[in-house]
Amino acid sequence: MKRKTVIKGLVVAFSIVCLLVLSGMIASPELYSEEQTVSTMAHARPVPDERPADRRMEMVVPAMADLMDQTGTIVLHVREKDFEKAEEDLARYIEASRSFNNLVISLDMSESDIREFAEGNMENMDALATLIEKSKRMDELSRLEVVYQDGEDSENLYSISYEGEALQMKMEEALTRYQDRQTTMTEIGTKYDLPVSSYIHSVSGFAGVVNETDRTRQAWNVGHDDDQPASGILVSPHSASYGDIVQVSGMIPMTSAGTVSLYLDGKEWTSATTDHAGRYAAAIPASSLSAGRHLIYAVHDGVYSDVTEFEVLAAPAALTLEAEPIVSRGEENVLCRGTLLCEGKAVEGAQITITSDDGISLMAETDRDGAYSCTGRLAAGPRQLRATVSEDLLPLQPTASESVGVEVPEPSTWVTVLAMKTAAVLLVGIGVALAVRHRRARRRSRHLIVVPRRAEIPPGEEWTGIAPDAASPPVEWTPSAVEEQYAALLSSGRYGDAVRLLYLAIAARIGHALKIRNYTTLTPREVLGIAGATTTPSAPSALSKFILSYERVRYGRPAPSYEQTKCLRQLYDHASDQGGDEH
Amino acid sequence: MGRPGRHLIAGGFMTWLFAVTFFLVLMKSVDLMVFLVLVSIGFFLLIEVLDTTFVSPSHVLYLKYLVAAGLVISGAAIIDKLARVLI
Repeated sequence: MKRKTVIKGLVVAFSIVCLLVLSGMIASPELYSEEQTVSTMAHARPVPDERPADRRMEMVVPAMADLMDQTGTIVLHVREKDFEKAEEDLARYIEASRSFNNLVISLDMSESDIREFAEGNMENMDALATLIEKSKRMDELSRLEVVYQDGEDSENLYSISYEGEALQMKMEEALTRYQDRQTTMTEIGTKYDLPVSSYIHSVSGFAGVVNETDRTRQAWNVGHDDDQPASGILVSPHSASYGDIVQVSGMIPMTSAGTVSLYLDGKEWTSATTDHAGRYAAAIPASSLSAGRHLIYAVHDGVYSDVTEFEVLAAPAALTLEAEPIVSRGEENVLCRGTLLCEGKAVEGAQITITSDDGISLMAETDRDGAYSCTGRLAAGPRQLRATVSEDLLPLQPTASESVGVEVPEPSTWVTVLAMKTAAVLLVGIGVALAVRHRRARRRSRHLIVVPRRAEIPPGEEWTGIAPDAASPPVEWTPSAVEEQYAALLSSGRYGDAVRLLYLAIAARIGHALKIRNYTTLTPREVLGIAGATTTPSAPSALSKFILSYERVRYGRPAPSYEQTKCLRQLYDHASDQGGDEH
Repeated sequence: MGRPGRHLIAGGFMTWLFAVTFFLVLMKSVDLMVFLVLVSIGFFLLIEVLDTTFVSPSHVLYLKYLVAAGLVISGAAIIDKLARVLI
């Protein structure tokens, strides 16, 4: 006993020591470390990843230099009025900018300089696109102006003059944005030793293009003169933001009722009806205009009103984002939704860009309630998503939502979910089977014979015992009674009890013949041995077949079957015929 | 000592558990599901060794249900691992 305790104690102590030793390694097992210099022939020491962090800069800096270099070429082509080449250069510039942004995301460059450069580059790209587009249109207007001047077409001269004024305004805005970025971009370029000269020339070239177009446009204004008096046009308010309505009103003199066309930024925007006094009014929702200054004028029967200006301010917006994973066999594995509000008002038709930290972007558009939703496929794992709205067509400030984390499921998740559901069903089935089995076992135990408790022996008295016959009345094992009980048990499916009945019938006959009272306490083989010692050689052979078969059927692993019971019945009959009845 | 076979079986099962833990830690892949699968296999073998031919005690019967539940969970874990690799 003492030795057993000592062994148990040693096993427990050994287990605790092992667990303590391994506990430090379970969280973060460290099989190799810088301090570990011991090496064996069986393994090679892994080479640590010593790629310096500056290696990433070596990949990014050439792309930055290329981007800064391309700006000068674009502006040069615009200045030379070679718009075809300028557009080709711009397309390459846009592609290079996209590659640069993807590179920054894939290399996980979180340096503020790089991020600022990327943002500035995108703004420069927009400004250059505006420069090319407006310069090209201005060039067309210049040629038209010569044609109209020759034809003395004063109506169209007014038109191109006003459109030119609007174009000039947009170009000046683009120039302002481009110049505002110059200091920052030059500083970043100098810091990383980039060739900034081309970029600086592009800024001056941009300003030169704008000044040149301004001079051209002013020449148009000087060139034409008209006898017709200019009509006034009023705008209220002069400064509006998202959700406001800009009221436009005016009067066309010397006219009766008719229709007035209103031109916004050189393009016909809407029409208004004049009353008998020539007055007209129209409303422009600021929500449908981009942020910035806008020019508006009215035209009626070739009579042009004055040009007036108003400004739409970019309003701050509130953008929300919710993301949740989708478990499906389809391509989509994430659902994003949210709302875009501007000063409490829903923003409709805004393009929302949802960017993941794996470099994938999803697009969505807001509906009438300012809500948006979209599905997409992202790389599996924990992802950080951010929604942004950078809307050129709506007067909204660039707005970004809070960063939202989402656990994007693996593509195999649907298989896992299916397997887990199946496993859950199987586990429930196992539980039910266990409960049924347990219930059956309890019900069967109710049929067992309850052995009466032994009577209490008074102290000092002797146990006299109970006569077997008095305790349990003798059972009549007549063939008819056996047959009747056997048929009842067989019909109720209690095959085990049926074969037991057959055995007890034979054992009872042998016990009765040999005057053995306690034959029920003997094992089948003991009964067989006693019978074999007193009967003819042929009888035990049939009896032994019955007894051996009875043991297999009764104590075998599977429960006795109907066929086994019938087979035992035949052996029982055979044993009874050959000698069982002799007893 | 009573029945030494019982102690051998218990010792063998403990050795199996320690071996599983040790190699999982050594491979830097301490995964609860893998551990569960390997423990279920050991448990299954243990029940097979303990099982008797002619009698089926109730505790062995209930242990078989436990093993069946463990095998179901192990199967689900194996399907999960295979799906992660193949899909």
